[in-house]
This record gives sequence, C-alpha cells and structure tokens, in this order.
Amino acid sequence: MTDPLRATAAGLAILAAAFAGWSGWSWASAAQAAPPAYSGLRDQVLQAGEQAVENFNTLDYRTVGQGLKLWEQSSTGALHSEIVAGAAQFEREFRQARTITTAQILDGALTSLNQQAGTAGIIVAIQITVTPQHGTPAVKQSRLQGQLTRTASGWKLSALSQVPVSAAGSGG
Amino acid sequence: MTSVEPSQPGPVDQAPAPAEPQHAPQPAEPDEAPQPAEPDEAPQPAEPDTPQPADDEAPQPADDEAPQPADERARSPLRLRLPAVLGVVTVMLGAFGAWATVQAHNQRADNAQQNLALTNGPATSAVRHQVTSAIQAIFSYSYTDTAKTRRDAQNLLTGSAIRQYDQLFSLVEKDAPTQKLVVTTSVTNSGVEFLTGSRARVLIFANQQDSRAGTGQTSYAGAMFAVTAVQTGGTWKISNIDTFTGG
Repeated sequence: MTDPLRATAAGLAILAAAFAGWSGWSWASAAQAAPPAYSGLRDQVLQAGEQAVENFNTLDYRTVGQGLKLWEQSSTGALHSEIVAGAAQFEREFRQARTITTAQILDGALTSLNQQAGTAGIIVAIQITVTPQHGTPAVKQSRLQGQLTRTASGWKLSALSQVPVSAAGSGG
Repeated sequence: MTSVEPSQPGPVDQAPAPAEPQHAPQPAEPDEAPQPAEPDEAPQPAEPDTPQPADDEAPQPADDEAPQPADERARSPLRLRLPAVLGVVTVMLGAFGAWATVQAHNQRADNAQQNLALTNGPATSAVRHQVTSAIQAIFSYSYTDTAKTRRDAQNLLTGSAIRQYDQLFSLVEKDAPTQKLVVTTSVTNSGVEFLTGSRARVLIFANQQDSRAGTGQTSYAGAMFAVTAVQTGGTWKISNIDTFTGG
C-alpha cells in the first residue's frame, strides 16, 4: 500500500474518475436543458400560420375561384364554414371590384401553443397592397390576430380578424 | 521431459529426435531446435535427472520470469499489474471525461442559440410582461410632465433604442404642451418570436388613446412594433424598436 507507484496510480485513477463523473454530469445536464421537440413544432405552426394568413390576403379578381379555393384549404372550423357559405357572394364581389390584392408578412409570432389540444394563437403584422384595374395601388399595414387548429392535413386558421384600433370598444 | 529417458541415448546422431522431447515443454522456437541436438549436449538428456538441462535452457526463452527468485515472481503481478490496470482505467476515464466535456460544451453552445420562445413558459412570459410594460410606459405621457416619461424611459431603454426614442420624444416634447395631449398606450397583443437567455424579439400590437385636455376629444390609433430586448441583470431592456416604416 505504501508503494509510491501504486499510490500515484490510484490517486490519478481517482482524479480521472472524478473528472469523468463531473463531465458526464455536466453533459447530461446540458442535454437535459436542450429545448424539446416542441420548439420544432412552434416553428412549424408559426410558418403554417403565416402562410395561411398570407393566403387569406391574396386575391386576384381574374382567378377568384382559385383564390377562394386556397382560402378554403387554409382554414378549418368556423372560418372554413364561413368561407364555404359565402363563396358565391365573395366571388361575385371580387369580380366586380376588379382588384388584385397581394400581401407581405412583415412579422409574426405565436401568442400561445397548446400541443395537446392542437391549438395556437398567432398575431401577424402584414402589409397589404390593393391594385385596382386603373389607378395607383393602395398600400396599408394591418394587424391581424388568428387562431390555428391542428387538422389531419396540417395546422389551419380557425379564426382570423383585424385587431380593433380601440380595444376598449369606446367607438373611436 | 520424463519421456527423455535412457531409451534415447542411442540416436544421438539423429539430431531431431532428442530435440523434440526437450523442447516440448518450452515455447518451442524452431531456430533453437538444432542446438540442443548437438552431440555435446546430447549426453545430458540421457542422464536420468533430465530437469537440469531443462532449467539451464529455461532462462533463455523465458526472460521475464526466470531471472527472478521464486517468491518475487509470485508477487510481481500485484506490484506491476495493479498500477498498469489503474493506468489503463485512468486513461479511459480521462478520455471519457474529455469527450463528455466537449459534448457538454457543444450542447451548451447549441442551447444558447436555441429559441426558447414558448418552449420555456416562465421565461417567455417574463420577457413578454417586461417588454409590454416598458412599451406602455415609454409611449404614455401627459403634456403636464413629459419629462417624467423621458426619465422613466432611461431605465427601460438601451443601445440604439435610446437614440430612436430621443428623436421621437423630442417631437412629443414640442407638440404635447401646445396640444395639451395626454396619450395612453396599452398593449393589446404580444407574441415572443425569439428568445435566448440574453436576447428576445417580441411583436407588439398597441392602441394609443390620445386625449386633448379641455376639449373632451379623444382619438385612437393602432400601432405595431417589433421590439428587440436584451437582458441585463435580470431585467429586459428595449434595445431596438422596429415600427415597420423603413420600407
């Protein structure tokens, strides 16, 4: 036991074991702190939501039928029913208006995400350009809030509306 | 060795014959096979106590053990093998430790870059609340005391946001008293887009209620900001405000 060679070897082995234990623990704790697969879902839902919002703000009077089809495909639930029910009227109105509407997403964020329920809240800052058949395009920025719901064919908008300027509803 | 018995003296000239029995117990090396077969040594194996020639030859092929006395030979595995085993264990543990340290470092570097928005609930609501109240504070003012708002803003802003705000607020300081403006900003929607331990980007929708004192007139305006915030000492400060007007 007093053999210096053995004592040194044992001492080094203990140090190495301590180092291995510490580094293993450090690695495990770092791995545990890693964001779960949930973060991938968040990015995916946000992307789907922004695309759906963009679809809903894009319409060309020359291809109204096609545009409305895209609205139907991008929506579910109450919003979907609304579009299906009003499709004929929308089509008539848009053909008469003879405008081309394009949208550019300025920014978007999820306000909530419930993985179990398959629901999410989204807000989108959007810039909409409405180009009439004659005349200059009108550009406006808009604040939209929506609800997303998971369906068998991906996340779709179940509600979409402009954020009212007066939240208090005092008529301003 | 016992097979090398008196029956063998005859074939002395036959080199291979005596060589075989002698070498049988040893780790036979072909090169040495002819040597014990030489006539000089041949008579020895003929003698009854054959162990002798065997012992003489043993030291040569078996270098490790033979030179040592018998009792030291027994202890040597403990004296040398234990440190050797410990050495191997040390190297293996050290190698694992080095590898795990690199893995942990890489994992932490990855983690630091990861977007924690919504995945880390408490951190997400913390930044959301702080940015919301900061926006409400810096964009709410009364013509009677615009200096107060500017003072408060100093603690809520950092970096380029300070200059942005100064430009904006110098207009307020000029106009608010003449128009007797009281502006109240309230955030209606907010969503954290990006969040790490030290940096965040929050999309904010806010309503501004403008009242002109004495006239009873109130108007409303909507605003949207993408706010970049940095965390210093547990507090989130606004470092940039994007109002989407840059084109």
